[in-house]
Amino acid sequence: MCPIRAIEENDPSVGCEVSCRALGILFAWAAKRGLPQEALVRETWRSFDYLMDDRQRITWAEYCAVLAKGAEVWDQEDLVQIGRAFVRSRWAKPFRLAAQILFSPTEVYAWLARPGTGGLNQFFTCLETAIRQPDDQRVVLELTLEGGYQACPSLWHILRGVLIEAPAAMGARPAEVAMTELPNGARYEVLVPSKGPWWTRLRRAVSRPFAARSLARELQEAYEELHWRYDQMEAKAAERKRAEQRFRALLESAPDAMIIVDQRGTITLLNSRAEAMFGYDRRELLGREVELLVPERLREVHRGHRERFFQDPGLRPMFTAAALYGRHRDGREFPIEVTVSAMASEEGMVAVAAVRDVTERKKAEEELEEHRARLAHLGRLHTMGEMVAGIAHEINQPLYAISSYASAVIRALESDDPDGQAKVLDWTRKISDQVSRAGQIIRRLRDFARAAPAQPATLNVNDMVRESVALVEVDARPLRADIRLDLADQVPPIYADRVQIQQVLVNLLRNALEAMREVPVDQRQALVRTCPAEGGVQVSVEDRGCGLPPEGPDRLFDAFVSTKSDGMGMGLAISRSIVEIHGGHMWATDNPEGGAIFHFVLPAADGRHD
Amino acid sequence: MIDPAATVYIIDDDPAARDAVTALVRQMGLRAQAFASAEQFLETYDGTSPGCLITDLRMLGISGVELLERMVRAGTPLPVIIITAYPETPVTVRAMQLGAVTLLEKPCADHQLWEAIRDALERDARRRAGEARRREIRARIDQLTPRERDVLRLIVEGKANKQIAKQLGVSLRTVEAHRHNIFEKLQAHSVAELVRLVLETGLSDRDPFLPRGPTW
Repeated sequence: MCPIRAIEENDPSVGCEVSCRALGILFAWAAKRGLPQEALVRETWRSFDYLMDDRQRITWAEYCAVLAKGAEVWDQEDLVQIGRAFVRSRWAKPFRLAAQILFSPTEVYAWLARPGTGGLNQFFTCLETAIRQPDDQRVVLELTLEGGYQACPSLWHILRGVLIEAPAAMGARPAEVAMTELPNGARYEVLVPSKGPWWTRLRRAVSRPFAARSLARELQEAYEELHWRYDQMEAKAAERKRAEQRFRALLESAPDAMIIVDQRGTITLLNSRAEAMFGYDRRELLGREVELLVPERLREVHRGHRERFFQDPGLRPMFTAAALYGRHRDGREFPIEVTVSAMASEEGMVAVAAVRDVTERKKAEEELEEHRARLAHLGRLHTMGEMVAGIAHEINQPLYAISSYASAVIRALESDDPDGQAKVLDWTRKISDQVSRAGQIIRRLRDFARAAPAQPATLNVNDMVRESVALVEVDARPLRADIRLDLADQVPPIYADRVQIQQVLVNLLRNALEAMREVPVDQRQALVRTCPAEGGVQVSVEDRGCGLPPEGPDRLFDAFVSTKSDGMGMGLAISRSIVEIHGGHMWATDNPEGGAIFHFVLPAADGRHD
Repeated sequence: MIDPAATVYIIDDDPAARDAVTALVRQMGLRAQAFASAEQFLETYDGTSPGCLITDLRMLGISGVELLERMVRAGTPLPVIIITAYPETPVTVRAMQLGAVTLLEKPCADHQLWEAIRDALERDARRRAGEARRREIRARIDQLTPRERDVLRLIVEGKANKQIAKQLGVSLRTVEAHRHNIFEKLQAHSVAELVRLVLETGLSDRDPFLPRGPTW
């Protein structure tokens, strides 16, 4: 947008506007040095006005409008470019002059006193003479120039600047200057006004050439500093641009859809993978709320997450949210995984989200989960096969009680038992109790044997332990083994499938009982312990049995490795896979009191809901 | 035939099953006493009271089979009915070897249980009656002098008086006198009856109740 080429090529048609901009920069610099800005603006405009030909001349109002507009739309980069172009352009010289006039008349002196300025020296002599006149004296100066009068107008402007415009800008009385054209030059009549601070300063500067020179040097340095700063700013801008280009390129080359969102939730940047994934064009998304990409039912929740993230982004510098859904432009939902990190930018904190479409992976995971669940189910059926004697005992016990009560009832009713009615009532109630007991046992077994897909829910591990111990009680009884519980009062809830966790516990408990088959009866003690662990809950099943194999516990977890003669060798492998699919892990250690301890840790439910 | 003093002892570690069977047995008109474990039963039972025992095999503490083994070791003659939920062959075979009378499967029908109990109690009563008689016969035998016992042994072996006299080196008259005393003391009226009485007590050469004869 910046007509930099036009400036470099000295195209006068754009010179005006560009010069105005350049002046803006100059003002800024000057303002830093404590010069009154409005006066400055006015003065530069005047200088500017003098230097323009009719075609380029603009009014004060127009000039102000351009500056005001400039302040509004120009960014720093524009200013840098303008300034850079300006110092290279042919406009620089007169403007430097104008600036020098504004800063100090002695700078004109310095400029004029430089070698190679030719006839201007003469002009300066005139000027000096005029200034050195006492107050209220009229002085006539005659200037003979090589180029004749043609060379005069710019000198006239300068003279006017020094003697009229500059004092006026500084609040001093201006001199009165009149010019008459001569064949080989010009004649100036100057009426020097009465004393004032500005005139005093001007005179002092003119009469002290050393001071003037130091001021001139100062100006030169300021000019060079300005120049240098332009260079710096330009380099910085270029670096920023390169960085941004690199960043964009990086963003584009990322394997995920990348979306950058500011604190208001507005999308500020995205890559083409994001366009493709969500089916939108970049322009449709920039400036829109990021919730556009979230299914409607989840938008409120997402907004909440987003606000929390920005409230304290440092709390979790990067986190991955799984089990999210994205919404395609056509309304289709698809599972995504999002990794969000906070990034400081010029616009404040922004969130960088890497979005991955996990449809395929989800499908593969579901298939794997299905296989695993089927295997787990087979494992449970196998376990139940092994437990059949105990289970039959467990179910037949209430049936036996029921049939006995029923027979007793019949006998009581058939005989003339005087207490018959009371007895019958009592027994019938007991029959009813036993029927519900049998029903409970069957339900428990049916749940354990069912092949339904995993139904994760929020569970208390202690309850799981108690239920599982009830299931293996039938195996413990004939062994006369004792299963003791040491359950922590406060365990965090877990989020898991009830039956599968039960399966793990039943498996470990039965292994513990099996391990104690060959040890003396008084040593057959299993202990189930629960306690809160880092990030979840730990369950340990201890036995006092034959202990871990000497080659180490790890092989035990492999499939088809069994220490039992009739074992399938799947129990521990399945148990471990169940624990791991729930995000936990399982391991075994030696029991210091003899025997083995199997441990597993399950993560806490952590705010997930059913 | 059932002894009115007979008690049905019931061992079951399941309170409901125990209570139900006890109620049923009492309703059958029998005395019943229930125990939660084999240990409890062994502590309580005096080893001689008439009756029978109903027990499960699979129990907390001492198992059914172990109980039978202990009872056999202690010579407790109580007939045992086993009721189990899941009859596994090796265990049941072992139980039968140890003298269990009947094996029923849980749950069992009223008449099965009734028949098993009746059968067991009758068997107990019979055994007791036989034992009482054996005790009585033994008491009579105990009245015999050592010489008379020698004579009795030879009579039971089927030896004639002459042979006995010769073998023992005494006169025929002496043998006849002993013989008269034996018939008198054992309240027998014929040699056949005498032999039957001796056989009923299980009297034989190896019987520890009879002093061994001379080794010639």
